[in-house]
Amino acid sequence: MGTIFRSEKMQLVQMIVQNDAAHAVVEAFGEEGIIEFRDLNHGQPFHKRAFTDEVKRCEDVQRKLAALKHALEADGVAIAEAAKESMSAAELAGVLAEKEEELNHMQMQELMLKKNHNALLEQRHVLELGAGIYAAQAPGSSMSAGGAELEITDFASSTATSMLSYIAGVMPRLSMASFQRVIFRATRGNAAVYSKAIDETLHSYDLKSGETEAVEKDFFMIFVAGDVLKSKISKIATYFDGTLYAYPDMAADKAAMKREVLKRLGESSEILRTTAQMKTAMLTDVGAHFASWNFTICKDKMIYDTFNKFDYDVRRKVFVADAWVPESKVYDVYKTLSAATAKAGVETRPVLNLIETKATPPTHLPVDKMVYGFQALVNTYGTPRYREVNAGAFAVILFPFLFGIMFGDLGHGTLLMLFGLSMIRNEASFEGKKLDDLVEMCYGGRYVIFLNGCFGMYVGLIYNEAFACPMSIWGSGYDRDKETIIHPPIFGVEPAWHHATNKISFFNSFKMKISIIVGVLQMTFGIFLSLLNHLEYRNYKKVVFQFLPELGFFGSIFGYLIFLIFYKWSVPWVELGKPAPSLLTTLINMFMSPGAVALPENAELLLFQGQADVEAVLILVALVCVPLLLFPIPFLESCEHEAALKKKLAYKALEGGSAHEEAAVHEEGEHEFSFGDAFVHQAIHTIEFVLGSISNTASYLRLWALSLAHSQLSELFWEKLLVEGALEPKGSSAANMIGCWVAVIMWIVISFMVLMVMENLSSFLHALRLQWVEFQGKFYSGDGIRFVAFDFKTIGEESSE
Amino acid sequence: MASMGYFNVDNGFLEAVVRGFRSGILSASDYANLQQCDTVDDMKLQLQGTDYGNFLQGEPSPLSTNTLALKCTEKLVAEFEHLRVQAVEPLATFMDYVTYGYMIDNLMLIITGALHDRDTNELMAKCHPLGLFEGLSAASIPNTAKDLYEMVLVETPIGPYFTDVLSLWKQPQVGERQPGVEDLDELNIEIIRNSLYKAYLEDFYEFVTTKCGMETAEVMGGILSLEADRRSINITVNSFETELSKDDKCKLYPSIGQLHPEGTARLALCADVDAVRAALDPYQDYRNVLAESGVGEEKSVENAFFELEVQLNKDAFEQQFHFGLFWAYVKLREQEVRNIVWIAECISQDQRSQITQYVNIF
Repeated sequence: MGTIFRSEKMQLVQMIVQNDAAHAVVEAFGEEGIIEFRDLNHGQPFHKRAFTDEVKRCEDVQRKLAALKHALEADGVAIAEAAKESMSAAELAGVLAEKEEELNHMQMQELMLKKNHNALLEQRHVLELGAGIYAAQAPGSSMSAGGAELEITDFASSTATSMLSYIAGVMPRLSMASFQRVIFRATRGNAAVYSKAIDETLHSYDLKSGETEAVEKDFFMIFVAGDVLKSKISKIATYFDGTLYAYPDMAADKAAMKREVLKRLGESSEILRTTAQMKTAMLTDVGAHFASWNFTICKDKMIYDTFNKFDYDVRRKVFVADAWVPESKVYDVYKTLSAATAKAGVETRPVLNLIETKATPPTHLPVDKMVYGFQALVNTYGTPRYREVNAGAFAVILFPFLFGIMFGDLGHGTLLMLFGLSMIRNEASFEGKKLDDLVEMCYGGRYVIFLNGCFGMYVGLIYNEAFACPMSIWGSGYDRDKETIIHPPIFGVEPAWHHATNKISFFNSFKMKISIIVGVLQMTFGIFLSLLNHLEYRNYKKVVFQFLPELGFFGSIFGYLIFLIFYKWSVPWVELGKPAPSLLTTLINMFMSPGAVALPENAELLLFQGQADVEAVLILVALVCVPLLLFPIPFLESCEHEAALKKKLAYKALEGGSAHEEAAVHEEGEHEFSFGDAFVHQAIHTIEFVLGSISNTASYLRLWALSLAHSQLSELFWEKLLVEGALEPKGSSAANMIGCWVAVIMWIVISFMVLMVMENLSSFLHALRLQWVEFQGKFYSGDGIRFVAFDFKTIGEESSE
Repeated sequence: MASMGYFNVDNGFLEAVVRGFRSGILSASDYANLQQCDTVDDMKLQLQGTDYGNFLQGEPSPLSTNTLALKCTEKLVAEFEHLRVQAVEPLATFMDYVTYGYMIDNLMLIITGALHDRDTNELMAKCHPLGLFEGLSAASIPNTAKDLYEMVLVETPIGPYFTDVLSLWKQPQVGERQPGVEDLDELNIEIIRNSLYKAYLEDFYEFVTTKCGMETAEVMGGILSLEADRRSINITVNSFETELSKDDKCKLYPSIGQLHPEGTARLALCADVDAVRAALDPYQDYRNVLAESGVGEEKSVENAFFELEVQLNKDAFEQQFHFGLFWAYVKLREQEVRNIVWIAECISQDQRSQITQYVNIF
């Protein structure tokens, strides 16, 4: 089972390297991705650390990159795949600063041009819309018609200007209403305001922040008497975000201006186009390098973040780094280290010390993509403790098996298996892409789904059911006419049971017992795994006083139950001519009235000869096991602690320590020992185990319950929708045919929703609970710290999270 | 009692949200950490660990104190807007009332700026975003109070308060209008500010005591009383060297608060700080405010009031089923922004000895 069974052995190493080589060394380790650096400056705030400035500089460059990315996205320029580029972070910072400057400059220029363009557009609208209003307002113009209009307008305006002046401009539609009200109040009603909506969407530009906003605007023209009011109104207009535009009096001027405006508009759109092209060209260039630049900067930031974890002293000329390494990789680390220092051209050889430590090493469990999903389920509960038996290794088969018992149906299992298989087959199209939550969850657990489907099929074959249809692949061993058994079923359940009148009670009894058997076996297996843990940690007192009592207690009650189940199955009660005794009653009587089965009046309850004696022994074993589990361990721990303390004090005394050293000894110990705590802890464990063994066994009955629900539901849909609604012959009228179709579609949809989605999820949930609580509870502590390798490959993942 | 029963139907969610926001207010240890910083950029890092989060991301280093203040206020405003859009009556109106105070301040900022020929757009940028209203920028145009009212304020929520201001000038001179009296000069602007505030506080007080239930009345009554008393004292202290008459002063004192009417009557007679001190002596809460400070040390009087205010606002969170929380939250956050800016200023100007003079909140 290799490394998936237990986490890898870890070694703490200490590196002492000359400062000049620091960057090269850390970079080399980042490429390798095999070690995890320990934080030697723990507790020191970030801004007090030695390389804060460098990290901040990287962040600043990252900010620039983000700005570039924003521009790329806004312009729709694709970001090319990362290519290898040999540019150091320092050079890159310079390049990026240049690029940012260039981009800012370009954007500013573009903004100015756009603003100018927008102003020209607005001027054009003013000229166009103004003509109508101006003509309508000038006295006498309404009387005239056709070509005469222009002349009269000119005449009217030239006389009107002496007393009536006007202002024309453009203003956002939203401010228009309140602007008009303010004008009315400011001039006490002595102003005529005319406005008209502009169809085209115009923009407003903020040169300071560089923001562009599309706004709907209105054209307005105000006629007032007197210059004072005119200047006041112009002021007010600017406060309402309005822009004033010239509107010449004379028709000839107007025409000339219009020509001018149109000409400049043409020019300006030409300039805008070339500017946009230039910008796109520059951005395409950026886009081609963007990914590699981003990688370089992220890498540099990771390196400096790692530097911050080192014991780094500029005056000492060397830095000290502690790191966790898998034992098998220590030599690789040494090679990398010497290669990197050699490459950096440093003469002093680096030093690599292996350090013995009491600190808990991180849990390193390299998983392949198949185990990944199962390990993730286990890690959700808790990362395995260092060198503990990894529950994930067993989840790969046990979890799908539990699922299969609940989801046992060949048809549904096949569908699920195919779903998982399709995702496995199409891995290439999923990998490395950003998926949405639901898809990502399914994809991450594709092997879980696949195996769940496989086991659903397998158990479905045992149950002989496909979409609730009874199957008879290997033929029946029961002659229904003669009502005799010809031969035992070849594989799985005898198909004839599906047609029997007592089908439900048979399957209930069968599945219930199967659930108990599976449960007790799995939990016993869990207890044995705890033995492996005790042996690994060399905790022999726990082998004797925890593992053995637990096994004794569990085996004598539930092991006996399993024995009874098989015994009851193996005895032909009909031929013996006596009713089969209820196992529940037997088990209850074993505790409530021990020895009573031997009495003659209870002969009906007797399963086998000597039952009373066997039960008496078993009860005795179970009862002895409880105090054995409860008492010895706390006392042993207390003794061990005392001995260790004495030893330490003796050493101290030898070194000439004084009385207050005792306190120091206590501090050195990893944590304070207290007999009370140890006892309470063990008492809780005992109570949990004793009570838990009963409730956990009962808990496995959920296998039966869910399996029953699944088969009953699918049978219900089959019978009521498909058979009664569609398959039973009811004549061939058009209504019937449509009804058939409806029934078939309903059966498909409901089967899918209820059985494939809901039942699937609930089976998954219950299997997960059995895995976590009932199985892992027996041996798994799950309080490890995950090993996070210092690896540049994680760069992309980080940014996507 | 009914209000307790039904409060949560309409306002329970927002109260929960605001209490959640409250736990994001910087604690004493956060301030201690902030004081350890060497630069404003360090403060940014430090603030990243708090509820402020990444609000400064995308700001280029080095960070200026102004950006810091701007961004902090932006966050406050965003939170306030979040609460405001979900509020139902009468909480919605209550929250509108909270903004009126800022509107008055903004209006005064614009008018004063216009008086000194400052650029209006520049001034607009300095306005508190909670107190922006349509036409605010146009407030720099009118030259007289009457014009100001008719052109800009008549439509705004603070318009009604302005009628009180106008009556200040009208009453003494029946009929004939003396040119220049209503002009917006410095003294008049102060008078306008104070009488607007007086009208605002009285109206708000009226609102919280009649329309928002007993609990709100109790909590907000206390808070608004302090606000009113602070204004009364400030008016008195600021009017020593001016031509403001005793009657005029009396008109500016809000008619709510602990000091009204007896204390304000005494304050009106005061001519120097010692007299004010004597006048405030019977009022236990305010006795110490002036006692600590020497003459002219404006800052510590202000801080003393801030401390009183913070205390009241903190107490508001100890009660339930009232709207005072929303006011208190805004004010506490505002105080927090002031604190952050103070610390940032001290750091950037290297005035470390002054750094502890912020008002601790929680």
